[in-house]
Amino acid sequence: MARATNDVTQIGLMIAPNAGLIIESALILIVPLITITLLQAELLLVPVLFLASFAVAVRAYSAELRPVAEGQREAFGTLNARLNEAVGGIEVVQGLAQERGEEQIFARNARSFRNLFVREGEISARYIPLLLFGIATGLAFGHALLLFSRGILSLGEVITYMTLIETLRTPTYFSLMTFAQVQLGIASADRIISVIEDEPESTPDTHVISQPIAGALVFENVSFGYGSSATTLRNISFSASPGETIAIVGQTGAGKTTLTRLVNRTALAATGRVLIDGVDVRDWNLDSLRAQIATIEQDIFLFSRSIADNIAFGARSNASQAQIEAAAQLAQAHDFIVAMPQGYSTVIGERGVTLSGGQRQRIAIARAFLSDPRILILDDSTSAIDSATEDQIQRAMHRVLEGRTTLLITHRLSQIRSADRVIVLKNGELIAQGTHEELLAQSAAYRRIFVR
Amino acid sequence: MGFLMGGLDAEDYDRSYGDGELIRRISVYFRPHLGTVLLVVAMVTLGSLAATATPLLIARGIDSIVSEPTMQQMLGLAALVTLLGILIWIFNFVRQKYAARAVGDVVLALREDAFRAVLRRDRSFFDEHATGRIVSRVTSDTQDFATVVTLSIELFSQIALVLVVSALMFAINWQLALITVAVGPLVVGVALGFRYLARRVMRQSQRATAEVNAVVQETVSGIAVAKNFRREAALYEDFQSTNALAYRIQLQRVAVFGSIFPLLNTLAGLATTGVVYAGGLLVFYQNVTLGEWYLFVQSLGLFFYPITAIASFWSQFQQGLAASERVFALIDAEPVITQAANVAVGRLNGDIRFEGLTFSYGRSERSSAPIVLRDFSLHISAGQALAVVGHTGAGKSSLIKLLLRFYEFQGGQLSVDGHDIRSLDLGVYRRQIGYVPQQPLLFSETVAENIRYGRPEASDDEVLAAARNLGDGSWIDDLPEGLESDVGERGARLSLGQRQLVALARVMLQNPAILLLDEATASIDPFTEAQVQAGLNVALHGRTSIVIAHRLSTVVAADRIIVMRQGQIVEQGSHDELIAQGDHYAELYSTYFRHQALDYTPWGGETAPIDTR
Repeated sequence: MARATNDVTQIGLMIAPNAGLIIESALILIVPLITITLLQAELLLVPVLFLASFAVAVRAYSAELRPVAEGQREAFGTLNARLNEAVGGIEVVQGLAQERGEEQIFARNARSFRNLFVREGEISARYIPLLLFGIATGLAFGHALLLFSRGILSLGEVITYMTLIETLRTPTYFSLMTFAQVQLGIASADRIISVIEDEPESTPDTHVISQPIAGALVFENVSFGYGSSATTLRNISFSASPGETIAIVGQTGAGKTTLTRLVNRTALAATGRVLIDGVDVRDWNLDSLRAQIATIEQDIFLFSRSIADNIAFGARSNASQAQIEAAAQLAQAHDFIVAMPQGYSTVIGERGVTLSGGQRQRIAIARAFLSDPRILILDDSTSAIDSATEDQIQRAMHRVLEGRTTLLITHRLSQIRSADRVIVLKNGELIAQGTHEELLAQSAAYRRIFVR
Repeated sequence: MGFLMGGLDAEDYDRSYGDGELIRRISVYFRPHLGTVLLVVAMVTLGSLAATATPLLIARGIDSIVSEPTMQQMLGLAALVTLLGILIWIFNFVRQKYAARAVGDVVLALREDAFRAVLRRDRSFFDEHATGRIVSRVTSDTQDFATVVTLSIELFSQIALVLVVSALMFAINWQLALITVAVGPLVVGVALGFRYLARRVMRQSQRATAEVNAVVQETVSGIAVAKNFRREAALYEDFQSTNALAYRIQLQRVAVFGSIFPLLNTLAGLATTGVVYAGGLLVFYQNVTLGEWYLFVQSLGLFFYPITAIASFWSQFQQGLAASERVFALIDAEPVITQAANVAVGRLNGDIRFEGLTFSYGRSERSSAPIVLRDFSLHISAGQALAVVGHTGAGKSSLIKLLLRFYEFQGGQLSVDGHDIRSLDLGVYRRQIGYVPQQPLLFSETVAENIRYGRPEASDDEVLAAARNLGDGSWIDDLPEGLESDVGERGARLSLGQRQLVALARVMLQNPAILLLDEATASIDPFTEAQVQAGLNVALHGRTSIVIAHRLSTVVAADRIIVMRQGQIVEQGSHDELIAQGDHYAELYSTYFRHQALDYTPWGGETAPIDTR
């Protein structure tokens, strides 16, 4: 997020006043030079020498300043991050009586920022172009006097020349202020471009398979890793017949969510194949594939719009109010929605009402009912605070699974038990699969969950 | 200074400082750097003199060549001008270098004081003030303060320059000087008017940016949903309209900001024209020498640049003063908790006694905050495992927080092993209390470093032993790199259950006499849950413990269960006894714990689920 807005602002700062200043500075350079040429071409000697050395000095200056300025930003980030943790976790700091230690860490971070701040001050203090300008003024004056004494220049021309030299002061000072800013702008532009170029679905979509999905799902020796080295999933194989519910269990970080991403091609397997109805997902038309697969994420996202709009978001064509309400009924959401002041028109989010996790989940389930997918991926890690909510969530889930191939990530023991099959993941590997009864017999880890 | 804080929300510990008081407070921080400050002031003065001397010398040169120039004189003059140029650079170099050093040190000291003040605050302070705001006082406001100091030096040098230049101009020719100086107020007026306009435009543009941010944020977060439903185009259209609005407002902003410098330049240009014209006339009538006329034209530049700079820095200067006011308010805020004595207790047994205790979260007795505990009495004997259950707001967490001395209570007694809690050395006392909050905070370091947090001197073997002792220790093997795994910011790379295990290992290493646990409500994955339970069994053994229980398994395992309602104990006993009573506990059980039982089914007695269509 920071990238999208801060960096755009940085670029804005670069272009608006600073690019303007630089262009202005360039004009301020060119006009005097032309006038000096008209006055006496020989007088160009000092200004041209000055400008050449100025260009070299400014380059060196910004090359020296950049790493320090960036380091300073980084140090400030570190300082802030730790401070945030310490203040946010003040009960831990005070509870463990670690005030002294935090003070030391803070002092260390603050000092490294201070050192970079002082370093930056030294570098900008040593701004060579200013020195060059002072020397150039003296040399130019000498040069002008010399020509005057030879009778080449008139007194008026000496004054004109010195006034023109004086105009070079502005670009000398401005570049001190603006170059750093432009450099920050360039760094930001780089980062934005890197985001724009980071297009995860860059595989060409020339795939032609576009047909109704029956729901047979097969993983064949699938491996996957984010980045190059780490492997998040290793050699996963399992299959689901149309309409089956597969529960995926394992600790956070075991690769459960990643596994489901391979199904609707939000991620692509590094090796091995994921097949839907016997066809590799890579060969499916992306629109056709995703239109028939619905995902209810662990962290359910709702737009800051009305509840009805949020449910209708799942429909392929415009959904009627009756359809929306029917979906909400099936998802056990209707009752709490009509209990709200504006019912289905209630706006959710920052400017509207806040929903509990269980309520959000049921709205997402209603959304899934409307889109009527053939394959459903349900990442269910919502916590239930009380048993009544739990009852409703589970009923809604049970209905939405009906007749669809479902991958169900869940913590709920009753759901694990009632799934057609369970696969157990550990550190990216599939360590056991089978029905609840089979696993109770096979797997010690699995048994520990159910036998306490 | 209060009037300067428009637009910033004041907080209740904010106070207004008189300008004199503020300057006195600031100067205290500069006192250790008096030498540096004097050096900087000297450099500023010298720099201004040198900057004025250059045109003066050139003017002299011009006058002299009109009369009788010798080559030597002329070259001497040129050499002097060059020398001055070098001197200006040296003065500037010394000034900036030492100013940065002084400012850096002052800000460092101010930050350390502010952070120390934060650590001294009790919990009520953190309840009332968001983390982000506190953090911004410690880092951003002190940074603004640094800007003020730098600007002050800059302002001081500009003012010095204006004074020297004006004095020089009046000395040479008061008529021309009057023309020049007369334009000064005009420039200041324009700059002030611009500030008013700029503030309005800025406010609008900030709102627009916030709006775009909100939409971008939503679009980015919702992109996964949009992709799944193939609705990217609709989102993009929404974003377009907001973006167009922001674009228009930014254009306005650029127009306003873009017009100020040309306007000021025009004014300066008009003044220059006036001086050139009037001066030309004077030269013509022999009242002014040519060199002096040149000097005036040059001085105009030296005169207007500082005036413009002063006018445009003024608002930043005010913001910085307001920022320093906020920092001092943080440093000066009064602590609520005070200890009557500092008894360093030895190893505690863990006998805890609440006697007729009254407590509310308000800061004082006059406060209108509701009373959480009224005449509350409870005795927990050493070694007992106590589970506390009850609805939200019954006062369960307050028991734990009072024992940690995070809050001050208003009446009654709270004693540990017979010592009044108000008489204890808090550092020594708290080190014997193991506290695991509902959402345990981990620092973005490795798991091992987090476990060591409460006892930085512990050896690697001790850390490993503490971790291995929880359950069968297999949770360590599930971490990607074992104890060396980086937990991520606030522990985000671990599951909630894993974070709890790390927090448990952390308190186990501390070897506390009393264990206080606020269990998490969020359901954690079943593998981790089994491990946490095993870990808990170890942790509770042989220690006094109070557990605010959200997990059925913990409640059942406790020695004694108390049921709280509105700050009172309404029932106590063991799980089976209380279920048998069929009163408060039984009601809580069917509300909160029923679905956690292993044999739970969502439709109660019904064997077949309801028909779906």
